[in-house]
This record gives sequence, structure tokens and C-alpha cells, in this order.
Amino acid sequence: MLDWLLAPLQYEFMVRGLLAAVMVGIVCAVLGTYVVLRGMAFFGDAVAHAVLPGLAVAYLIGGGPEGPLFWGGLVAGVGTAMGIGAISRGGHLKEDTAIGVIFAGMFALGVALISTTRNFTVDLTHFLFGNVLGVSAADLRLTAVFGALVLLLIVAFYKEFLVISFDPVLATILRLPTQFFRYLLLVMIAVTIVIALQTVGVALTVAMLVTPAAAASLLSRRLPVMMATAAAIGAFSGVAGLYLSYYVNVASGPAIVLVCTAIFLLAFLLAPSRGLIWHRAVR
Amino acid sequence: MRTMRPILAAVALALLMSGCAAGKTTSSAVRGVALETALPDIKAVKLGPGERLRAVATTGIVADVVAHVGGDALELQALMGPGQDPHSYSPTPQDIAAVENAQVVFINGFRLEEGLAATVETVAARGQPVVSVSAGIKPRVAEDTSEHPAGDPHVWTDPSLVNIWVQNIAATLSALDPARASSYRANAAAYARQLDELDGYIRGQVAKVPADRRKLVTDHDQLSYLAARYRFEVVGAVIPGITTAAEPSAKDLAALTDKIRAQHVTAVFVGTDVNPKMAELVAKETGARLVPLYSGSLGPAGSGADTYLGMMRANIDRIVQGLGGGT
Amino acid sequence: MRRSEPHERSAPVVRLSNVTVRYNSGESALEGVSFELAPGERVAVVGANGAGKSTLLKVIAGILPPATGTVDVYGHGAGGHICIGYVPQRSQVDWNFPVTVSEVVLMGRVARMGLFRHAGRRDWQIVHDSLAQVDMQGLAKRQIGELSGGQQQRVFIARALAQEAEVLLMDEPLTGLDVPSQEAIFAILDALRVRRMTVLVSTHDLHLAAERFDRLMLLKRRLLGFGTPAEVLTAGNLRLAYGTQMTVIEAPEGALAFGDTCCEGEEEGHNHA
Repeated sequence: MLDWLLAPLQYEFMVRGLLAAVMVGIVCAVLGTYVVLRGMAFFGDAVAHAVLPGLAVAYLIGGGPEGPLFWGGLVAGVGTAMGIGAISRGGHLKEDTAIGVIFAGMFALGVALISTTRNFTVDLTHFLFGNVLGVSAADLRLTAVFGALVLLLIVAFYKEFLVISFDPVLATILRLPTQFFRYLLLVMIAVTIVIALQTVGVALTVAMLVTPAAAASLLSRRLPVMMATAAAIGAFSGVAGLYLSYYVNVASGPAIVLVCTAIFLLAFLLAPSRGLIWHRAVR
Repeated sequence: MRTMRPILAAVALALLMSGCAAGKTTSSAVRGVALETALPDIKAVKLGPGERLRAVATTGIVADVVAHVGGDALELQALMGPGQDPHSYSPTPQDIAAVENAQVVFINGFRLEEGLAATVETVAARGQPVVSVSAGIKPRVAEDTSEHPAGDPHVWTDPSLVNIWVQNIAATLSALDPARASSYRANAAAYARQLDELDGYIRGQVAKVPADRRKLVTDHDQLSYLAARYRFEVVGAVIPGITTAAEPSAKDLAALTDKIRAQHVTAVFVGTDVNPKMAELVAKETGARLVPLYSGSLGPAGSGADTYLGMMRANIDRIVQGLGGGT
Repeated sequence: MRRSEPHERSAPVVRLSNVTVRYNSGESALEGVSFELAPGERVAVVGANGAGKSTLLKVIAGILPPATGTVDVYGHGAGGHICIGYVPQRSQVDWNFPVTVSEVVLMGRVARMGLFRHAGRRDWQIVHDSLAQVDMQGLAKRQIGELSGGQQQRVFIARALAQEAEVLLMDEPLTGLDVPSQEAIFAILDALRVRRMTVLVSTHDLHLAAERFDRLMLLKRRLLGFGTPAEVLTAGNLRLAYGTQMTVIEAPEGALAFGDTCCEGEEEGHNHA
């Protein structure tokens, strides 16, 4: 048994991949708690897809995958997040519509830009589904720094985020700078998404944001506990997913997402007092 | 050298035999596999005075060889340029238009140009001449046969097989344009001599590498024909298959790393037209040197590797150097 | 965090001058409303659905901006204070949110805690005391979705107390509560009166409004009447306020009104500019 656990660890690329998956799992899950509580899953998915043109431009400028992809993605992600935030205050379009339009348009722009290069298929696949096996030491450093920053902000502004999420009216009455915190949260979501891209890619990042937190919401009724549970689920999914992909030979990004989805299903069925099976049994 | 002749003869025999046995010649209902067994029936085209034969070639390598046989009599367009990986190539609308307007289309064959398969089938079904320059070559069976039933397409890494290309091209052009048949055949013969020289050069270079170090690790399985002819051992590839459009799994990478360490391989060869990230990873993990090679395409103009002959020379030099054979 | 403007003790607690609030569509939710509230008084806001009761509470709290006119709390604009306690309609609260009773009450202290600070002993003491005043200290650790209707109201009152609020605005707190729960709320309001907290409550229940409040405000976009129940609840006013929703019978003791005054939340469908 121990052998089985240790075997992949003799390869540096696996160790780096595991570290990346764990960090991404934790940061996404903790921030994802707010995404779930504020009903922002669609927004999260939109920003993840909207990052693509930023990656594409960086790819083209940098002459390929050695370009400043992280920063290009960050600019596009933060820009989109703030843009959606601004548009949805206007009131004439439903927020849902505005997000849908921007989501598809940006994603199409990204694919179109990438398709102008000659050998884009593999790289596009990596953007869409992640390439956790290809994480370099530099990538890991960026992930650690920005991930830590996001977690730090969550702790520092815990009570403010709590108030604006639970009761925006109270936030106004208490004269909290609601718009500032609202935009800050959007930016943090964008940063987290760019970090997560390497592991699970554009298409699956929303799963890392939403699924562990959704499972945790079924398992606990207190916010700090929910965040900690989500983080544990996210980290575990990252590790288990990678081990799964190593031993069963499936793509790692999807493997990670499948693990946390399975955990969600278990929680959905079995959670004390909220699970489906519990309901049936109690009847 | 004379060494080429028996091989040529053998292959010609194979060509004949497969032609008879398969009984498939050409024409309309072609699928990828059938194209490789024999040359299609070609009818001559009418060319006006000063009008040149319009030909399209898929990869830059095929185009280069076709250009040497066809010479000035051809108006030749290559779909892929230097640095374009043929496995992941996707045609633009203009490319497809060029294919449809050509009087003959030369493809590498064995489904190398995965993105062009549909276009090629449509065009061939209309009766337009689509010629696989690899017709008559018996391919190496690839490991992932379900994905690539036609076999390993990287035949150009063996100059003796390119000789067959030359024969096929000359035969095709002569059938299309009988007036210039003699010049085509003369060009073909001249190029065949150059291929001979290349073969000799390669053998000389390989001899500089100690026998126990003639081990190849590549980004994908692209050098097997070269390895077979010049007696290298293919230890493995980062993408364990014959296409670049695939992902290695974690196990694949781990297994390759183990093999490299066990066999003390010193170099990992990666094509210049692909994303080197995964190959870099393996090289770093094992301490091997990462050596770029021209893979499915030629080098840019002026690099010395902008012709097939130049490219092969450049590649073998790098291979030999990477394996510690000095220059 | 920003400090509250100092209160002008000589000014009325709440003063509205000719306040008009418009919906996004341009229609008015409130028109030309003017009145003053004295410290410690308990006022009920009554009117039909869509009359602007919720809007009035929100404009006093500073959540909605007036299109014209001014709102002053202790002499300053409503945005200058953090001492306004607002108890929302129960339907507006996300009861599934993973917070406990004491965590909700603690939220009232966020402005006073300041940036980057976490709750200290004093804050938790105030939370505890606030819960004690509404008789909820035993339920401090319950998630808010596990509470009854009356208990839910009391949590938000406790939050206002923790805020050290001096004005309490309650949006339809009595709707859907059984009589014992309503009595519990009134008991708390009586205790708050002793502390000179000014209370403004919107309700559908005319009877309760007449019986248990110092003054009544009758709204139908405009202020139809503000004074004692006898002054305000005349047949004429009632017809104006409720139109066909109510039948008014003149009887020797006074007017008897029968109406269909149920249902909450209609006003919330509008977008305010």
C-alpha cells in the first residue's frame, strides 16, 4: 500500500503536479465558498472562458508557450470580471444575459486568435483542459504567491465579505465600501481562475470553484467549517485525481474534477439531515 | 552507391506484387489505406503553350522532393511551410481552394496530414489525381494501430524510401505531361544520386557514435525508419505514438523516465515544430540534453535545412552530437 | 472605518422634507412625504400593498436615494450614520446562509470593529447582552434557518442592539407570526422604549397598529395622515388608502373597516432608480 502511494513521488514532475493540484484545490475551494453562497457559478465559468484571449495574445507575443501566459490571462480575467461587474449594475440587461454574451464572445476571440498560429491543437488542449504534468518550478511559485495572497485577503476581510454576502442592506447602512469589496471579490475570483488554469484548464475551472464548496455546504452549517471542509475536499480531489490519472491512465484535469464530483454526490446522498437518502430513511 | 539498387529492386517488386494482389488500382472510392498501395491511374492533361502543370504538395518535405523532380515545368504550391507540424495542421479555406484547383495533389500518405483527410477524400472522389508519394512502400506498423491503421507515416527519415517517392513522382508527372517525361526522369535520376550520397554521409556520421550509445528518445515516435535503416535503438518517446496531437499520461512519462535512466540515454530529441514543454520536463528529470531536430517540416529559408537533403544532414549531425559522437 | 457624524440632540430623530422616491420606470413610489419623529416614540406605518411602506423604511435607512427632498437623521443625512437598525422582511433573508444567531448579531458590530480587526471580548459581550435582551441567548449557536418566525425577527432586533442603534426600522415584522410571538416582540419594543429607541414598524394589521403604537402613518405614495389612530383612521382616509380593498362601515362607536389586507412583498418587485 505504501509502495503504491510512494511510487509516483519519485518523479519530480509528479511532485510538482501534486503540489500545484493541492494548492489550486484549496484556494479554489475556499474562494468558491463565496461563489456558491452568492450564486456566482455562471459568472465564474464566464471569467474562466474569458481568460482565453489573454492567454492567446500572450502566446502570440511570446512566440508560443513560453510567453507571459499567466499575466496575459490575468489581465483578460480581471478585465472581464470588472467589466461584468460594471455592466450588471446598469439594470437594462439581466446580469445573466450580459454574462452569456461576454462569455461566448471572449472565448471565441481566444480560439480565433490561437488558431492563427500554426501548431495550436496541443496548446489549445492544454489551455482548455490543463496540463498539470507540465507544471514547472516557476509556475509553482506563481501559484503559491497568488494563492497565498487570495487566502490572506479572505482572512483579512472575512467579516466584510460576510456582511456584503449575507446582507448587502446592512453593509450599506454600516457604510462599508460595498462596491470596493464587491469588485475586490471579482478580482480575486479572476486571479484564482488563472491559477487554476494550469491544473484543470478553462473548461473545468468552474468545477474546482463550485463543487467542493457545494459539497461542503451540504455537510456543515457554519461558514468557517464550510470553508475548511471545502478546502479539504479540494485538496483531496487534487491528490486523488492525480493518483487516479497515474494508475488508470486518464487525463489528470478531468480526473480531479471527477473525484470532487463523486464526493459531492456522496454528500448529496448521505449528508446527515440534508442528504437525499437521509430524507427517505427518516420518512 | 550501389547499395540502393537491390533495395529499389525489392521495393519495385513489392509494388508490383501488391499491385497485382490487391487488385485495387485507383480511382474514385479511395480511402486513405488504398492510396498507399499503388499509384492511381493518371490521364494526361492538356497544357497550353507556356502553361505549367499546377501541382499542390502537402508538407514542405514532399514539396521539396516534388520540386526537384518537376523542376521549372511545375507551378508548385506547398500547403505547409517551415515550422508547420503536419500532424496538427488544419487547412484554411484558401488551402482547400488550392487543393481543388490543382491538376495533381501530392500527399505524404499514411494519414500524416490528419487535418486534410476529409478534403483529400472529397477531391479524390471527384476523379482529381491525388497521389501519395509513398505509394508502394510497406509501412512500419505503428503501436497505436487503432488510431493509425495505415502505419507509421514518417517514411522520409529513411532516404532509401524517399527514392521510391522520386520514382512515384516521376511516373506521375510523366503520365500527366508526357511531353516532358524525359526531363522528369532525368531529374529523378539526378536526385536519386544525391539521395545515395546522403545515405553515405549518414552512415559515416553514425559510425562516429559508439555502438552502445545509439539510442534514440524523441518527442513522438518519428525516427523509427531512420533507426531501422541505420541501426539505432528507439528507447521511447515522450508521446508514445506516431502523432504529435496526443497527450502522454503520467504513467507514460514515468515509464520513459525510468527507461532513460536505466539505459543512460544522454539526449532527448524534440521537433522544432512542436511544443517542447513535455520533452523539456523529461530531459530535466533525467539530466539528458534536449536537442532540437527538424521534424515534420523543413527549416526556414537560409538555415541550410530548407531542403530535404540539407535538413537530413543537419538532423544527423545533431543526433550524432547529442549522442556524444563529436562532429 | 468611518466614524458616525455626531448627533444633533436638538434635532428630531428623523425628519423627511418633501421626499419623493422613483422607480426605474420613472413612476413614483413615494411622493412629497414630510414628517418628523420624536425620540423614543413607537410609530406604525400602514397602507395597502404597493403603498410605499418598505420604500419609506429604506429611504430613511439610506438604502434608497430620494429623487427630491431630504432625509435627516439626528440632523444629518441618513448616509451619515451607522446607528440605524434595519430589520428586513423575512422573505428577503437567505435563511440557508451558514451563519449562526450570534454571528448575525456580531455583524452589527462590523463598522465599529474597524478594518483588519477581528471581534474582541467587548464585541462578544455586547452580542451576548443583545441576545439576552431579546431572550435568545440559549439559541446563540443555532443556524438561522433553524429558528421560528418570531425568533428570526428577534435575531435581527438583537443585531440592531449590537449596532448600538438609536433608530429601529422594521419591515412587516408581525406578518405571519402567531399571537404569542407577536406579544414577545412587543415586550421587547416596550423595553426598548425605556431606552429611548425610536421605532418605526410597517404592518398590515390596522388593529394592532391602532392599539399598540403611539402614532400611525397612513401611506398611499403620499402621506395621507400622521397622528393618533383616531385622527388618522377616518373613513375618508381609509377609502383613499385602501380603495376597493376595504369595506368601511360607519357605526356609532366609529368606523369599522373590513378588508383583505394580507400578503407581503408586492412592493419588492419594483426596481428603484
